[in-house]
Amino acid sequence: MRRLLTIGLFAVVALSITTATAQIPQHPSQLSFRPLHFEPPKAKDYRTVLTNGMVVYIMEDHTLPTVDIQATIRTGSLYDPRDKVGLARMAGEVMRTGGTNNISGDDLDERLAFLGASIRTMIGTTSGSASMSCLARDRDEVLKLYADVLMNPAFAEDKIKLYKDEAIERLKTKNDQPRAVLEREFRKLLYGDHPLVWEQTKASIEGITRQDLLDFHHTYFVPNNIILAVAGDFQREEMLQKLEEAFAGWQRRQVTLPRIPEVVAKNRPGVFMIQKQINQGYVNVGHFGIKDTNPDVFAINVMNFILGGGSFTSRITSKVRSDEGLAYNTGSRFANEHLFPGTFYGYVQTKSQTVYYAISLILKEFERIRREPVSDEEMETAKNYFLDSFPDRFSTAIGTMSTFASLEYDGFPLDYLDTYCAKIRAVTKEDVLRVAKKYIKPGEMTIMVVGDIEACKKGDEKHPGTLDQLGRITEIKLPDPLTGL
Amino acid sequence: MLTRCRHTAYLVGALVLFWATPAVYAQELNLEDQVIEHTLDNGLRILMVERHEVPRVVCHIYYRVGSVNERPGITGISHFHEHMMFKGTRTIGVTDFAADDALNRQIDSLYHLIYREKYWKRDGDQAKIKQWEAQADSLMKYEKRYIIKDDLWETYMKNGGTGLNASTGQEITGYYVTLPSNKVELQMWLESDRMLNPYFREFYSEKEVVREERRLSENSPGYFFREQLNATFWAASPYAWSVVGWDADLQKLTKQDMIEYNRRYYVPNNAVAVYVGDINPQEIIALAEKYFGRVPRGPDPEPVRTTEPKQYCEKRVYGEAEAPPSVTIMYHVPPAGHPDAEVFRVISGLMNGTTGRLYKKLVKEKGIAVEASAFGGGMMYDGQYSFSGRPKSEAGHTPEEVEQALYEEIELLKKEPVPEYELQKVKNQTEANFIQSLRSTYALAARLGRAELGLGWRDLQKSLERMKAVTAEDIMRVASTYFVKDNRTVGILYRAARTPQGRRPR
Repeated sequence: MRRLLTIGLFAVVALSITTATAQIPQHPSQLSFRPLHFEPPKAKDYRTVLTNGMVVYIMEDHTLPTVDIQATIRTGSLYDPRDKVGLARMAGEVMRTGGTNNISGDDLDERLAFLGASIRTMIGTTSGSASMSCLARDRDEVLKLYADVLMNPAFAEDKIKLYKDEAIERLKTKNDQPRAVLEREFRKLLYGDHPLVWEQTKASIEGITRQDLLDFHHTYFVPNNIILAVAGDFQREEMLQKLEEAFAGWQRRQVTLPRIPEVVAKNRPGVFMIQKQINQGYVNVGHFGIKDTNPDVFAINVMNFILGGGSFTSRITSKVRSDEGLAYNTGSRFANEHLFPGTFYGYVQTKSQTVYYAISLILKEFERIRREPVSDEEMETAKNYFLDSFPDRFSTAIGTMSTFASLEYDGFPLDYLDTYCAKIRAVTKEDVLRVAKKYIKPGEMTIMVVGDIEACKKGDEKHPGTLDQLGRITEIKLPDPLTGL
Repeated sequence: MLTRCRHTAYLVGALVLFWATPAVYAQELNLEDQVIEHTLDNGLRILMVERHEVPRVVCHIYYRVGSVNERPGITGISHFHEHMMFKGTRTIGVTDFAADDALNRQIDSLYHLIYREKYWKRDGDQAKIKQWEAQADSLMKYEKRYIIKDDLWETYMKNGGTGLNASTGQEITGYYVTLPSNKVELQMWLESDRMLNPYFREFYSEKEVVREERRLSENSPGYFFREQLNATFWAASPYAWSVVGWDADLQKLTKQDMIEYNRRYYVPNNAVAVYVGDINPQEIIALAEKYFGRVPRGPDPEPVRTTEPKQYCEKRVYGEAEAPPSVTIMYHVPPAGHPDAEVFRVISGLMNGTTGRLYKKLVKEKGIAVEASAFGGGMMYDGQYSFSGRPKSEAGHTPEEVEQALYEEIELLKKEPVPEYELQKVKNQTEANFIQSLRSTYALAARLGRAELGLGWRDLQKSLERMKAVTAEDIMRVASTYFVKDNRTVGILYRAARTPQGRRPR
């Protein structure tokens, strides 16, 4: 072939096309694939419990000379007292930066940096995490440091001060990103006065003391309140022995979680606008959604994939982005919560003058999926996607162990993933129609727009219509980021 | 007091260990043993790594094309082209190609008229423009009967494709999908088709999507400032404009521009296909020969011609935005492959992280900044290295104060040799990070593919070796050579004042 090039490019083109096309199918739908069998790893085969009550999911993985541990701790900012909002997040960071009773934060940083290893801790809204990652040869030393951080954090005053300064500086940026403003204010509007959406202020951050952090740690960091995911280049039995030793001094204890008020899932229909001098409207259109334990979750996943969750194969993206060129980002999403009803919303970011038009297209798709059954082809695409991509969840050992750990954390049965594919297969077109009717409520939509209000209210010649056609417009004033007032 | 004593004791104990830790991580992992390579007659490179944990294969294809290959007038075309690659080909996304093509020719000739009237004339005939636009609109509506919406994307999705995406950078454009291991042939079919049969359907509506994407960037805090700073830093090099391009160019780009750009850069001899996962390399090679082998080799594209001239004078840019105040100090440095390239990698290691010099000095010790970092180095055709920081504004500190503190650290690099312990720490970290970065099959494919189009995938490991050879003297020499006043551009951003309504004063 190479030599032919000297004869002339056109000859080569002609030759390669005629010889190759003979064996190449006209269309990819004519390709046939050999069957593929995948048996997912079973959670119960990897689960064990240490003598102090710590649950462990552990898997050997010799691909790389590394060891990873990820702990999930039952805690969260959800449990912050009203006057100390920010406590859990601060504890999650300073328990690592502030060092332990045996090593200062600075020395710990230095040692880990020298080994090219890391220990990270973080507390989110509904869970805490602590992870370590190192080269296999440094496992014993890093594990010792990791256990020390979990068991004996010092919460050193200088690191508390450093954290507070940074946290306050971060507060000042909280109204900068239109997307962040939209997500936050949308949730605040729905959840109302609830710990899920309480916000830190300069005063709440400054009011948190070292004793608060120590008490917080004492309350939640108990071995029987922690699930470990462990994977890497080790022998399983030896590693389990190392874990027993590392956490040997830690006693189990009863943990009582504070009671959290119920969420009153009452929708807030209307148009809500937040002023920002930008050239697009950032839009959410939606209402309360579901808990992740809802048995309809499989049908909802399939339905939302078709509606706006399956990127270009979904109706909203296809219409709003691909057909009309109105947006780069658009779709719909069920943001499920575990202990509380989550949210459901369609979203789009589009230039100010097409805000109304884009929203109206999304609302039309909401109506349509509640009105008529989806097509056989849409069902096939959605279900195939979930089934064929299922093995992705198990592509790294530490990822698999973490998946099992988080399922247990959320109280799902150990065989949850073993039955996942069967449950997706069982979803019918009738199910999709039923859940669309049940969980999408066009009359109860909260429409929130962050953008230049006056410009977003109006359409243009090609995209007529004004926002007040969708409901009464309420302007939301953003509170001062430092005081919350 | 008691605790402090204990800390010291630990540190002394630990220091002994520091020296005892040998730094030979790289020998535990040799890419050479894992990567299988093959070259087709048309010049397409194939790289493969077997990973059999799950029956999935990461399939990436990279082209050596990005915004540096553009010129004023067509900025943003690389990225726009990437979008067009999802709108179908002569075979995909269309029911009746001949009919669709005929319509497209009509639409294109209308837009030819519209663009000339709109953009070539000072006062074009608005009525005519409107009339042509209405005609084009109705033709585009009519065209929908021939279009199979997002056919390529849907075909991948219904076959279990994940990680489905594409990205355009300054130098490289990549197309990604992860598939079940029995369906790699599907990727070969679709990607070789994209290479062989490009067709720029729905060009005008997709242009609006790209412009919305640009608006999204514009609304990210401080975007306009960063864009101007970058444009100021580069006087001649095409690194001066952002990947998304200038909006005026996007508006005026034509279908013909797109066709010419495609012909020049989307040739097999300018690309690499990477497969990482549950593969049989012999099977992959056979499939690649069959599918990609049918694509003719093109003329080799000329590398970027313009290199940045020497600067000779400091440049400063001041701006305001609804964003945290900051300072950025940018220096011109040599391109990747230059003998000094790895020295910058070591300097980044010295500067960054909680044990890095910048955080220690500016954040912890002086307490004037909340964040400070240094990054950059050689790129494909030129190089750039920046120091930046954000002042602790609540305590009244300013970007200018942070700027001075950054200069002090830069001067220290020139004057004092870096202690051996610190140098060793950086080298250990860089190696450990390298190993960690190979865990994900996706990241591995990306590293290999991108490196292959630069200095070649083998250079990933060779560069590590060169990095380990960097000495304290190298750092002093490099800092003194490049981190000088006449070679820098400084950007100072202040937070914009806001009225109570959130509207910026004009």
